[in-house]
Amino acid sequence: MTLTEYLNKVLESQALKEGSPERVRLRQHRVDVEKLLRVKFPDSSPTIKYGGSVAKNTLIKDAYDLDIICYFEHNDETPGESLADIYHNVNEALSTSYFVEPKRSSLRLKGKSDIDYLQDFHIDVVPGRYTDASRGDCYIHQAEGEKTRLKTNIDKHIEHIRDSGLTPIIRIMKLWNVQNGINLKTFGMELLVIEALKQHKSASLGDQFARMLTKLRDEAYSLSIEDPANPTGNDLTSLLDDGMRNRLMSTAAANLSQIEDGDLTVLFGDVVTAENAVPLASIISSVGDQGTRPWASE
Amino acid sequence: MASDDQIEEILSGIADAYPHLRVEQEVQDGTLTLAGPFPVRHENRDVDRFYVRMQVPLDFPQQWPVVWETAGRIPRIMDRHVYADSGSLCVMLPDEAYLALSPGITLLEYLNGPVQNYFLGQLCVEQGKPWPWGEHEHGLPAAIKFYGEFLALDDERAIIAVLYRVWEGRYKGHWPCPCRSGLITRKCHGHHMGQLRERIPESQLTNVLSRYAHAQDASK
Repeated sequence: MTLTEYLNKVLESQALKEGSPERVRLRQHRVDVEKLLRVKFPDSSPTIKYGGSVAKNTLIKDAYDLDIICYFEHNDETPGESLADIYHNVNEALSTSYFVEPKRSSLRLKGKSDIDYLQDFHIDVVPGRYTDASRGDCYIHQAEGEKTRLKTNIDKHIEHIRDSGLTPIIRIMKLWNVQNGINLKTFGMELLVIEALKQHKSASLGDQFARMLTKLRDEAYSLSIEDPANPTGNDLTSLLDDGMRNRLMSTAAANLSQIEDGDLTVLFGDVVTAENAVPLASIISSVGDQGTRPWASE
Repeated sequence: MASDDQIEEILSGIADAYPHLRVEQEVQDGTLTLAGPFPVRHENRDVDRFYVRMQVPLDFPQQWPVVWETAGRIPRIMDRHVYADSGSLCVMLPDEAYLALSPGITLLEYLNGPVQNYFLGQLCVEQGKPWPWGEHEHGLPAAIKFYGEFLALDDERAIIAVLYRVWEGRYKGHWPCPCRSGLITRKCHGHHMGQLRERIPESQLTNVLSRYAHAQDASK
């Protein structure tokens, strides 16, 4: 199997198709979240829509996150006078039905009930306020860091990624990022890929992957990325500190050796698709009396 | 201070079998932390994948690893065999692990056995099916029931009495068996007590007995 064939199978195994249980759950949560927010802010008309990997067509099964943006009109102070107030009030609304984990600019939703306690729903709600009536740029609150607000443009981000012509390799690199514990912010990885491969959009997936790894191995300490929506105002250099650069370089180097050795399945493991999936019953019966029983304490 | 040889021995075979499980933290507080994707396997092929973090004690298998599922796929509830407070997984009843697993079990064997089985069970539950090999009850009742099965005893007081003697180390073959069957120990539970004495760490027995004592006090 060639590298391209293998990576295409990896992508197939990572697809979250419409109608899949995960997509159905995400869709239902989106409906629930919108309902909560509209009830909380009856006098406002926030824009509530998908952002993130759903809008960018870069979903992967192993690390999918649904961004739901909730942007209020530029002159609407009903949801809160300041961005921090908006962030807090949206948190409050969501907390009626979810366990909310505050992040830097977003609110992560997890289960709150007896049957799904702290189960991660893979949803980040991003509250914000448009800068003006054009509904392009937006301010979002930053709960950490020196700046308390960030100016961004979700539509520009989505277009930059979705229309890059590189979404398959972006998905591969997202998976690479999470499987190898690199922990580079997804947005940072997306921008790195686009910057590295903008001249190689028509190359094969295997070629793109090898080029990407080569760049990370050989140029880790000179990589730079810019926010396409706010290149001067949003400094992304903190995403690529020395530790991160080192992880990118060392993991890329190891993987390139494995590719040269012809050891493809080490990259992303065996590929499980609907066609080659083994029924659980077969697996259970093969374990037989070696099976063990789980337990739980009080 | 853990030696490199000690760490290498613990991690022997892990890199080949689980290439994406990386050492996240070198030895701290007597444990080594591994993290990354944990493939659920069948006949050397990946079936599915959970993301985990595990703290491996350097005196493994005197103590068992603590494992967490880090992607939030498994709800943190007892019915899914996850501790609600810490989020760590209840892979196996520790007492059963000490008895059922080989005393010299390697970490690789532990991952290939109980941990694989735990996640296979989770896959079954995700599909609406029951735990494939059954499941223990929660808490102290599970431990007492387990020992009861092992000793073929139903009476809770008899079970505790036997465990207490094992813990004390005070029993002889010609003494009356602590289960009060009327038989002498060597003709009753002597063999089982020897196995428990040999395989169950004193700290584990202390844990069970003290929890039983607290439960008794609380019920008065």
